[in-house]
Amino acid sequence: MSESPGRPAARTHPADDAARVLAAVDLGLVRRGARLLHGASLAVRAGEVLAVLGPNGAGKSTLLKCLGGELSPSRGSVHLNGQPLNNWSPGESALRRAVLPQHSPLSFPFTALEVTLMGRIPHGGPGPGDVGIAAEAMSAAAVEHLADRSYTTLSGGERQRVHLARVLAQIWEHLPEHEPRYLLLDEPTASLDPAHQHATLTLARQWARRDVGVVVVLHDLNLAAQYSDRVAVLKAGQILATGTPADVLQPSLIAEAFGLAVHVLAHPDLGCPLIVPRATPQAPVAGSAR
Amino acid sequence: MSSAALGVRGAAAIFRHHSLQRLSLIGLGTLTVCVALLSIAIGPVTIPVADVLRVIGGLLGLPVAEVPPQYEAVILNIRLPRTLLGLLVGASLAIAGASLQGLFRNPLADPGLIGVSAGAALAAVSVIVLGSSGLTFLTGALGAFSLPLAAFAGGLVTTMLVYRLASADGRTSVTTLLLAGIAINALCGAGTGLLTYLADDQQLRTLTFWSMGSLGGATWAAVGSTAVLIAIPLLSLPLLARTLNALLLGEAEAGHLGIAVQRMQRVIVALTALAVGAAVAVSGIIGFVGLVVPHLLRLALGPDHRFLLPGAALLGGSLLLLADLFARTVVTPAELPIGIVTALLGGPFFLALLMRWRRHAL
Repeated sequence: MSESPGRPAARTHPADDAARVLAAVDLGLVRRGARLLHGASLAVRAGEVLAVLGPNGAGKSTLLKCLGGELSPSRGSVHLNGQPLNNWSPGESALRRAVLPQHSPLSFPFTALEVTLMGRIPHGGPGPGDVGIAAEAMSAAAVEHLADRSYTTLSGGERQRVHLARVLAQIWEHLPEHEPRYLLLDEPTASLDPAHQHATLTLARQWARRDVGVVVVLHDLNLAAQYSDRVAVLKAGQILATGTPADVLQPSLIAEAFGLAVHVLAHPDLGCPLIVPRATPQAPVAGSAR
Repeated sequence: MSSAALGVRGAAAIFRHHSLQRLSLIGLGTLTVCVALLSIAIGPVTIPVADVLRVIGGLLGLPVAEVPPQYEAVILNIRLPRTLLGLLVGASLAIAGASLQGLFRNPLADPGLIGVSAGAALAAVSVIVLGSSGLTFLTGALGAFSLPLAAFAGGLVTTMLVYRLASADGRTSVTTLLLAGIAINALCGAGTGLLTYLADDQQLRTLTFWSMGSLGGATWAAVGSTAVLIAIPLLSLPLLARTLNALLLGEAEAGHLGIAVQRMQRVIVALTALAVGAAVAVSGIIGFVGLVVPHLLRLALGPDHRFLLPGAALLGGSLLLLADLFARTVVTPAELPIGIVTALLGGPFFLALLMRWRRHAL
């Protein structure tokens, strides 16, 4: 399950493997006396979707910010395609790795198309040739109908999808020699309705098939089970477990990480884990009181 | 399929948008030239525009007909340097305002409101008052450039201070920004007041013009030194338009787009401080140009800095010339300080903006 189909070549050369991952090694980060990360190691391979799960304050966003180069860890290192992050210039990293933020402070009335076109800045754009790419990216993120709308008039979910189109436009084309690209998504489903949540993660799967390594921070365990190749569970700045959803998402681990008692069933269509909270006397399920 | 349709539609829309922006820039350029001619022609002595063109043609070495010598003297000694200075100061204040607004991600940032002009003025006033006593080593070493360079340093320090105060974790707080501006304006005002108290009569006359702003000090020497200093930000800020666009997305997002965020922020701060400092050194504090001009342009052309910055330079120059024309003709033979005129225009504009901002924030 952790193997992505359709790309068998890379796994045969161990030397190539290091050059085809975005890896955090033994990260430690202390901010204002708080230990945000403590020996966390995580690697996303080209062509897989890796979901990062964990309770609030576990360090998920912090870990993602370290992978994105936004925070420098006080210990450990991050490697992008075999090179330490510091060896890449900001422009070089931007060609290989795009990051979808939880929120953007943009408050100026650019049109959605103009916002998407900003994804082409690392490529020396936006020029006339970039409009086609931006249009396709907007179509992929299902926001093409918003192209002429001012960003400031969009709803939270629509803004989120416009930024998704922007980061897709950023890593749209293959790099020379098919060097892997990475997509880091920080809670991309947070402000989306259920249909768009599934559409966004389906998109993440499609991009993994195009040899992109996708890291996605999620709160919904079932979305993670359904769409990721591997999941990593974080608690108190440490990785509790990494592996396939079926291996990791066990009732005991979920209880340890989240303090939540759950049943793990099999998804009726997909066979992947389906996580349902147990009914407890303190918190009866809605309707059961009747 | 739909994406191909959008591609065509989007390309057409962008093309229309860009040709509109290009046309607007040409229009603004024409406006600037017309206003400049008017500014040279109108005054206590009204000179026919044809004669103005002849004198300028003569300067450019064209074979032109004779012009009455008193016209030529007025144009060459008074009106032309003043008009050029107005264009330079207006352009630099407007482009500095547009850049600061991009840097702070906030359309309410203005060099006057957030204290950059006051900081520059305090430094310049220090040089005027203490230049012959405490700061002789400075004025001796730098000569004619000591005033604009001191103003640049003052503007630099205040911009960095305001930026530190107003932005945390890559977000800028409007409230902190404007409050920091109030505090810095008050502090620099107090400093300037103290220096005024120490000044002698001769210095006092110079200082009055600082507090309210004026283009009355326009000499060819002033135009020359100002042009040298202002040319740097005026030519290099438009090259950073894409960086400013990316910064509007947020600092982290700009970083992910491959911008060396901290370095570029420092460069933009230095360039805007140079623009404001050089303008303040030669003309005192002229408020609201940096606020009104970019805002009008954003309404008409959108927020893309690739058009906003050159547009702001052109519109800022012509707007300041119009304000100056009004200031020096409305109470002839006396002259209103131009800062009063821009404040009368800009104050209500700022209030309207604030009210709109509040409605949107709710």
